Amino acid sequence: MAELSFAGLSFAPAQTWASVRVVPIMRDAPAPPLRLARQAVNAGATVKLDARTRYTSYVPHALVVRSAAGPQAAYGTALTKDGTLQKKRGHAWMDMHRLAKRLPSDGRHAGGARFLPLHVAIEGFLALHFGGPDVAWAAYSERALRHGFSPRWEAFCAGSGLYKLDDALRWFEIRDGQVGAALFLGSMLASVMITPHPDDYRALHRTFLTDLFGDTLYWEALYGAPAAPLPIAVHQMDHVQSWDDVAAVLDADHAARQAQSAAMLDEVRTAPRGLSTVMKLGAHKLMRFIPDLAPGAAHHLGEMIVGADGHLAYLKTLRLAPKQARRGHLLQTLAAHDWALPTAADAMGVTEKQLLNRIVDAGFGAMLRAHLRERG
Amino acid sequence: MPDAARIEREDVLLFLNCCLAATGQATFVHGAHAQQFGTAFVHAYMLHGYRRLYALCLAAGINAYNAAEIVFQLLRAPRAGTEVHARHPLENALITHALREMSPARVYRLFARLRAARVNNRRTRAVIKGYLASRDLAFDALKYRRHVKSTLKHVHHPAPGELGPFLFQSPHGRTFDTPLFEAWRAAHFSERAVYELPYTVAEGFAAKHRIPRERFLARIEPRMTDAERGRLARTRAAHAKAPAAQLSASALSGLPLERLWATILALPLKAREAQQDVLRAALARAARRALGRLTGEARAQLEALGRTALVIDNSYSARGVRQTRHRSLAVALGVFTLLDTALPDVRVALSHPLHASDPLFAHAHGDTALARPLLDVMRGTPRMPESVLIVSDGWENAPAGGVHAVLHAARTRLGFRGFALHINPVFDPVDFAPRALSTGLTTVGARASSDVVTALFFARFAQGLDTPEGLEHTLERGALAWLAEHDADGGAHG
Repeated sequence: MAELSFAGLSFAPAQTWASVRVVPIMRDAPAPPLRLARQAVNAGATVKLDARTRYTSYVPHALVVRSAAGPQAAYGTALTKDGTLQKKRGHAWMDMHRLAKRLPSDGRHAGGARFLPLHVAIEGFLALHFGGPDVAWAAYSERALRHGFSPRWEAFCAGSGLYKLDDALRWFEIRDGQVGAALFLGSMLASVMITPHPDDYRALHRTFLTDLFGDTLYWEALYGAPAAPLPIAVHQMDHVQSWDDVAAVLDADHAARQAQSAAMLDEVRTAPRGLSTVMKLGAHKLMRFIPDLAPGAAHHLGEMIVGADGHLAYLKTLRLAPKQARRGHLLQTLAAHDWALPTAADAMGVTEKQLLNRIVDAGFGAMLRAHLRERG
Repeated sequence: MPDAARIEREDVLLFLNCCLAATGQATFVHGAHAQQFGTAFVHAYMLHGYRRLYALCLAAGINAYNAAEIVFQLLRAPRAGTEVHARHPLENALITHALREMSPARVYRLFARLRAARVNNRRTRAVIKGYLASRDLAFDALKYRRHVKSTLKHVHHPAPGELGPFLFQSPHGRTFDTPLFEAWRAAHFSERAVYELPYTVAEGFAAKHRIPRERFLARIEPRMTDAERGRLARTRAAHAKAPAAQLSASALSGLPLERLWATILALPLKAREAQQDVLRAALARAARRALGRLTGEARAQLEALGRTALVIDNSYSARGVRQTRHRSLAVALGVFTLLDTALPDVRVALSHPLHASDPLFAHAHGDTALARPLLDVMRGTPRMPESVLIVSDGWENAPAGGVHAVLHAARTRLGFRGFALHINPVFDPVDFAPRALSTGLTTVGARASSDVVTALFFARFAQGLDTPEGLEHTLERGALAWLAEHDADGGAHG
């Protein structure tokens, strides 16, 4: 188990609109020597992960991370060509190689990597026990034993579909030195984004609209309680004797808000379970994590770039819907018990028939033999 | 159960704030449609509930958008509202003079709106005919051709002299005796005649004759209005092959304060630094001119502010939208310039001081943190200020309620007894009022820097020092004075 380190980062007062609350994240320490650039893709992409595996999704943009020390390209320049863009039945489609690909340095740009934000994290989640059952119990179909769970898919809601998120981002006033934001919808923490440099954040501020959110967040944005701004409590001023006391009250309020924001982000900070390194970038590492999928409060997937001292240069998280987390948890439990259905059912506290129903409800009915798939 | 007097006072204050702050254009938060919808409701409410006060507000120094709206509502519904008896003479006089104060383009657009709404009563026709009789119809027909044409048709106004042939017939094959019409006819063929036409009409001909932009703008400058000259100053500077865009002092001289500030805010910081002498001189001139136009009573009210502390919100939302860029910030800075010129002791703090603390280099940047600037400006020198003014659009977020808390502490614990006012340049159509920063702080709308005087006047009313009847008497006195001064002038305005 690991924890994210928010060292060197502080929080500013939140700005709210309808059910959307955005908490700005500022960097106190000097910026890490990395810069992010956005490369527009705006196409469906089939990413070739290895010889036999493909990852397919709609990709709005890719991020290119480069060392800040080398020559920098101006924003908007077309960076290296990634794959061929074709049109299939009116939709743009691109074949890409690898979710995170190293880019060599040429005369104009420093070396770095191109990766697909959020998809790096989601692929880690979808790859959980993707190969299917390891033990050939009689209950499992031939297909599951031979092909595993292919195709393993999850559906998310795009940020542009969330109620008033577009308006909230448009009216949000970006602070000086802001490097990231924590996005809350209603009472739920939806996503955290941190970038290396304030200019990078300005360029990526609106990418919340193309991000992916679990479907409970759609309902939370629509029906959740309006996020009221938290005003300073006037009674704190009841004992001031001088202007210095007033300044002290303002400072104390600021510190209290810091602590409160840090507490609200605890569920992301303590989320990482299956940490894995995707790529090394000099002293930094591109990593991804999946959370503890046990039924509980919140499940946050994420990807990050951490420096040698553990400080976060880049972070992006995604909140899974409970149903999606349940799916992952089901696979994990089955795998933990050697894919034996009776043992796994005992461990979960249900009968075997109920476990079969759960497997079918989760959408994995194809892994069972036909006669077991019928509900009864 | 709130009593009728309090309801009346709140309604009148709501309407006055709407009239000072609303312009029907999109703001940072709400779109144009929402703004127009909100103001239309407030106008309809006042028309039916308080018709006499509604008409008297025409003389209260409100902005032209709302004045046009009031005239439209009064003409469209001659019998709506309370007090049916004999109110028309005063209303007619107010309408006539309000139309003369407005720019002609706005008046003709109002007439077009009346036409589209199929308003055709005798009173409307009389008002329109009276307006047409007071204008130089030859000039108007040249500059607002389409509008004049359809207005004449609407009210069956005879087109005297060459107006008829000019508007309704082809210019080819005849010459005109009126010099303006003849210049217009000649401009179809001759480049020299183009420079005798008004600027907007000459633009089309310049394109036809393919006159280079720089030469055209230089030679047509005597024919431009002040606003056009100011608007095009930067275009001229950009076209002139000068190393840095230089604004000429003459171009800036005719602009009102907030337009001048909007021009300054559109300049990059280096350009502002390079031309700061020119800019400061233009600001001082504009402020003196604005102060010179105030009545003695208004001037006295301004000076009664005493030691003033001013907090300006220059957060990102003060940038506004593309059509009215930087308007909120320009109003705030205009208020500062006006007060700085009129009063000896003015302290100012910006919510985001970017480049030193000189407001000339202000920028709409960052989030709305008003508590600390307010604290700084109130504690700065040994003596507490006598008045505190905050110019902000009301969306305080770092943290929310900061102004309320600091003012509460100042009033209850630190002995502040002075006058505090929140000036808000933006109208919120959802609440039908400019957004308030604090429940204990009076909020008044203002869209032009000189509105600060009107704001002070209405603030007294809002703080309960004046009753609605008192306000009505004051408005009536002001209206009669306004009408009288216009009659003394004796003529139509250009």
